[in-house]
Amino acid sequence: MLLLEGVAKSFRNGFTALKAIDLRIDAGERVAIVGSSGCGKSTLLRLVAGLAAPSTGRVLLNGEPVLRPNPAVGFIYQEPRLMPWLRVRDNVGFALRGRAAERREPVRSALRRVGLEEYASFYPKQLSGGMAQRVAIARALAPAPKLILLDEPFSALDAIKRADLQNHFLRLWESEKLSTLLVTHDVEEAIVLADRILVMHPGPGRISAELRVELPLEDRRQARGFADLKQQLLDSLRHDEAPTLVAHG
Amino acid sequence: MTTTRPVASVATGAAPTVPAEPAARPRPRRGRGFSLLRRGRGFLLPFLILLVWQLIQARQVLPTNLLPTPTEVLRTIGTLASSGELLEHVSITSWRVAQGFLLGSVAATALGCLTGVSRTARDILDPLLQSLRNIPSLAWVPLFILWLGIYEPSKVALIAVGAFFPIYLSLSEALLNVDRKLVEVGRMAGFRRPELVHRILIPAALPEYVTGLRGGLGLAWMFVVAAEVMGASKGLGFLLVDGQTTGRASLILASILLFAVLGKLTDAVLWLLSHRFLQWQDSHSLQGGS
Ligand SMILES: Nc1ncnc2c1ncn2[C@@H]1O[C@H](COP(=O)(O)OP(=O)(O)OP(=O)(O)O)[C@@H](O)[C@H]1O
Ligand SMILES: [Mg+2]
Repeated sequence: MLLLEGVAKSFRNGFTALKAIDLRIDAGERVAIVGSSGCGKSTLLRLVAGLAAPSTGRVLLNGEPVLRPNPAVGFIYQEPRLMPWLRVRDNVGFALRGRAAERREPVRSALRRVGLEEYASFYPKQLSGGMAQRVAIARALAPAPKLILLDEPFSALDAIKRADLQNHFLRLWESEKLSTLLVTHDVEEAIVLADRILVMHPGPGRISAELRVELPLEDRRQARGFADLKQQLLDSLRHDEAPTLVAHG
Repeated sequence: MTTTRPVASVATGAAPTVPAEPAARPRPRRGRGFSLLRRGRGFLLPFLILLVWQLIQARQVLPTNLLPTPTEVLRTIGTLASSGELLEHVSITSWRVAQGFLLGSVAATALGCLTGVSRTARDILDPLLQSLRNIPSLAWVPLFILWLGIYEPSKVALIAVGAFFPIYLSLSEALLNVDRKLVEVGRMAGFRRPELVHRILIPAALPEYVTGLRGGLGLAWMFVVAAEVMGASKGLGFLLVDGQTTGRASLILASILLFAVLGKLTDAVLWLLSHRFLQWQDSHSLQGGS
């Protein structure tokens, strides 16, 4: 589905944000990348999304190089990024092509999937943060993408809302069998939402470890092994980051 | 830990996202009578000022030929109105404002769009326009009169120049400052530049553009006074000069009052026209936003 080969990204100011990234995501697979702030996670997603071009290496989507944003890819951002002048239904239909009548059904079904049908005629200012993020999810789902990119999608929410939306997203994923690439600095979120977790380290950003999550889909936080996995992830995040500061014992 | 706490205790906390979601439905609108009453509040202060003024000047505390009573001013307006003169003055001044404002705002909208959207256009045009802005607009008057004569065209040109800059500036800046994150949503949707402009940049810039239009309209009314004071045989500005040369303070005050009313009225029209496109704005509750 998605393939990155030797991808590096340097900015015009000479700063190298990513170096030699190799990554493969198969259809229906859920991959998370965890890394500390500033290690290049968002940059990586922007390359995959076609919003920026890699300096070297290739980004391939179904074998085709990604040169510009692709309708088969949906993006869910850290903030809802709703257009404040559009009602919920028009925000959800924002990326849809075709006549108004043709857009109505996909919009309704996307709103139904996030449980916000009743709010179709609301303006974004009338929504809570969690609802707004669900609208953003509906907007990403409406064009029926094959791959969803998530950039710390729930980090602006309180713990309860976050867990709610994570579960919600899991159910959606189960019914749609989307491939997902999630980047986050929240290791719990990575464990809950992914089958495979890549650990990223800064300076310049690179992938330094990979873990498989072999827990049942439901209620992973309560599952045995969750705490171990979390500790393992935290360790590998910490170790490479500041090797001289870590006391090995 | 948080998951085991009863939800009710969480809901009373300050976290904004916690309350049950269906509660977020908008409150029903308050009645028409209430809103009329609230609108009416704005008339209270002017009315009080007029009342005090009337009471003081009825006793001729100050010489009445210099400061006539409000009723005297109203009488002057009445006389002008009954002779048909008032309509003529008001309509000629309004017509000048309308032409100048239209000209200025069309030019400002076109150029503001260009420099707000295109980097190249901005690099080429903006420095020139910014430096022209620093010329006191009245300095154009001799040039306009030389080029366009002393009649209508030079007046309209001056008003257009006055209206141009606030509109140009607000539109150009607003377009330039549209949230990059929203633009990115458009790019993800596969929009190319024309679509980005009309589906994201323009709606996002609209509130500031309207503010610019209202500012431009205000300046148009200011500049029509300048234009008419400098040479006109008709119009409210002419009444000002006429009142001065014939020593009639009531005529001057009548003209000022009419300017105030017309300026406010046209601004209200502009606001009404734009209001329904801007209802999405999330104004803070101190201003009673719904
Ligand atoms: N346009 C740019 N020009 C120069 N440097 C940039 C640019 N965009 C990002 N960077 C740098 O690249 C690095 C990675 O940024 P990025 O936004 O990808 O980090 P991140 O991992 O998403 O961080 P966070 O978790 O805080 O969102 C940062 O050091 C940032 O300063
Ligand atoms: Mg980021």
